Amino acid sequence: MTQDAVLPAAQYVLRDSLKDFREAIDGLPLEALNWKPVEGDTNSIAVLTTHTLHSTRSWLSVATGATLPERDRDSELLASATDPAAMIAFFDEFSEQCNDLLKSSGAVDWAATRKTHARPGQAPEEVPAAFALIHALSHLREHVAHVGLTRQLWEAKSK
Amino acid sequence: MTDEVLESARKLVCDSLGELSAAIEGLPIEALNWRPAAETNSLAVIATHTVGATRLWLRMAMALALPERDRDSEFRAEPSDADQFRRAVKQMSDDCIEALRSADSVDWSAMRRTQGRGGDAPEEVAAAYALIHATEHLRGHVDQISLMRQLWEARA
Repeated sequence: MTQDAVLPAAQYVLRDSLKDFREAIDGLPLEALNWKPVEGDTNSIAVLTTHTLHSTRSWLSVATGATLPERDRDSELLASATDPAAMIAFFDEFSEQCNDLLKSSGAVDWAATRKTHARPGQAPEEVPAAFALIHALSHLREHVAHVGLTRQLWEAKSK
Repeated sequence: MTDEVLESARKLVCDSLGELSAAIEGLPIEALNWRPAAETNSLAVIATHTVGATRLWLRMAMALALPERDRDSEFRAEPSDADQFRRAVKQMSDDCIEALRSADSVDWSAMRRTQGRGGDAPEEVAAAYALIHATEHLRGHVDQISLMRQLWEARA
């Protein structure tokens, strides 16, 4: 089996991205969590955090063959923060669940076909486990970068 | 038998490079070199760094000879011709796709020597790590570039 190294590599990348994500939201006031760099066209950090953590947990479940969690994608994109501490608590809880999904997986058949959660547009309902894994980690990093830049813009605006 | 890890990475990398190309298409040189705030990078810097890093990490994953790379200079990129810049990004993007097509399957547990990493980063990584890192690092910066374009357009 030549793909055994995939899981530990994924575990490392996941931990690294979640660490960067947490640093990007830690210490921000409520106004910053709900601020949008361009009103109407961009998402707030609260939306990005809510959506990203739900999505990552769901895609990692697809990748590892775990039961898919409940998910309401549309509501994630309407999220707003009411308390920074609650946002961090939510982040920590979901991060732990994401890490656990990869930790608790034994050997994974990356070629296995998996059913996904409902997806918009013409996206296929089944994907290889490998796709689900790499997509989960890429999508997570995408939004870590987005949140990081949004924080930089907030801090520049607030100076 | 299809190597689904490789096939999945090909699809995701191609999608991301397509989005990168679309995000810089048609922008004037002022937009490419614009910084939305002090201490942020320009779109040109992020794009230059992104394709340089992606090519390096994909070639590492695929056990190809590593290209010359001056990481620090990527962060000083300040193109003077927008079309020439886009052609350079396209060439690097094509190199990335070519690297991913250089083999039909890969031993993802094989160790690869890295290049030019600072701090306490390991000198060797598994091929699987190189591939996943290349894919997610690319995706992250493509999203930043798309957001930068939105900010530029909102500003204009």
